[in-house]
Amino acid sequence: MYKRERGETTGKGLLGNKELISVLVRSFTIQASWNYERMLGLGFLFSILPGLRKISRDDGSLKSSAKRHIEFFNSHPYMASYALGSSLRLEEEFLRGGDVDDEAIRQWKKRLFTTLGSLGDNLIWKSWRPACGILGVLVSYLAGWIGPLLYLIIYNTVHLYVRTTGLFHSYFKGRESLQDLEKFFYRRLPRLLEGTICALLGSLVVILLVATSLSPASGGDRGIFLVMIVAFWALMKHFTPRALLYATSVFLMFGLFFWEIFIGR
Amino acid sequence: MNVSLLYYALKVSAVGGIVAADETSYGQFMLSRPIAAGFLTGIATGNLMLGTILGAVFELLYIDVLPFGGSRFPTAGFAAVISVSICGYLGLSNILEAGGIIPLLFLYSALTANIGGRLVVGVRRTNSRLLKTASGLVESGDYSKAGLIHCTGILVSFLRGFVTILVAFSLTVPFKELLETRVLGSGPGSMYLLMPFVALGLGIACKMYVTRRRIVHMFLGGFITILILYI
Repeated sequence: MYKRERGETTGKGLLGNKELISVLVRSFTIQASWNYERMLGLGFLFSILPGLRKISRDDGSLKSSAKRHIEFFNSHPYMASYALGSSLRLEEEFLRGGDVDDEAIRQWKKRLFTTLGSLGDNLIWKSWRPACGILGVLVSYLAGWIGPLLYLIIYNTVHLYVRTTGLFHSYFKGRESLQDLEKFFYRRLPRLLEGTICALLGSLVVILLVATSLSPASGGDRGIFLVMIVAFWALMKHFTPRALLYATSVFLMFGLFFWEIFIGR
Repeated sequence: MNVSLLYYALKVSAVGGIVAADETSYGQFMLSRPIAAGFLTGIATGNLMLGTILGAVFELLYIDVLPFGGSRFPTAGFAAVISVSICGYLGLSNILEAGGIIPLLFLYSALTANIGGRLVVGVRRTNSRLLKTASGLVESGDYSKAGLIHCTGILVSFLRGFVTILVAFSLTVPFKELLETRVLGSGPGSMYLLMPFVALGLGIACKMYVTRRRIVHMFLGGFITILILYI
């Protein structure tokens, strides 16, 4: 805990909840101006700006901080909140003459974004989203519109948790915040989710076989349905999912066309 | 185009805009996933059940789409939005009523999603131009305007979705009568046309996640479900 000349402090830093919430709300737009040159650079500056305004002594220091944060930055959009929080803490240390300099903040961000990117991709895109997606599909077939609603609620609970704790935790802990990433939530959860996805898939196959309005009516049709799943699964070794989607559509269109010509509707 | 049709087209295009903005610009609340996009289109068109079921089918078909870094990927949500819009426009309340148009519907939806994905590149290039302007403003210390320019990216993304869906939907309007003749009505025929797409979706999901080590989990999940269903 420390005090600045201005005298405003919170329990653990210069920024209060008001500024941090403002940074959090802005971080939802971090990808708004995603581009090939600096990727999330401008979004990062836009998000961190309320915090920078508060901790900067004068226009000069604000300008140099702003220039630092508009540079190239890329990360998972949710996990970027870790970078936002810890960068704010480093900026604070820099402005009060701690052992942090301009280059140290740049290096910290560089170090952080690759780690955060891969952790976020693995945890959110590759594990959490498909798990919620399959659960949503399963519930959709069983209970209709509750499925998508449940999907959005469950998915966004973790989404908002990651964004919020990422920002607040990393702001209060600074460079130590990386230790959090080692915890269960980021290391073991993806592996646990992989097993859950497979179990949900098994459940979905059974549900689709017997318990929905789209389920095949007879035993023979159920067999065909299972064979089709396995066949597509095997074909995926040689073709991309999109190629198979186009091929299936075209094949069925031609099949239907010839059926109507030769057998009749 | 009469007024009610124009209103309908604008409604579904607005949903397309929301889906596009959510996917790349604002929030990433996953409104852009087909399951949510279908649901939203269902609400907008008054076909909640149709939106839910079609969204669920497309969710499986696009479950492998992972938005890593700067990769280009199909906008899966557009597939759900356009398919639900077309079915709603034809007056269908259940996908099984779509009959003979099911393969065409899936092909057209997949193409729309693909085009939507390609347009992301255009959005990113527009953002590069916005960045140049914003960098100049940061140099001069005008952070508010730089922020405003940053937020313009949300509008650009929204327009990507709005225009894509508006054009894709408008292209189907002249073919309404032709499409209606292809609709066989409810019956087992529709189910046979839909079944391969559901199976393909499950095949994609299995390929993505089921490994030799994990296949036990899959069987376990299936077994527990059978027990629940029959007990």
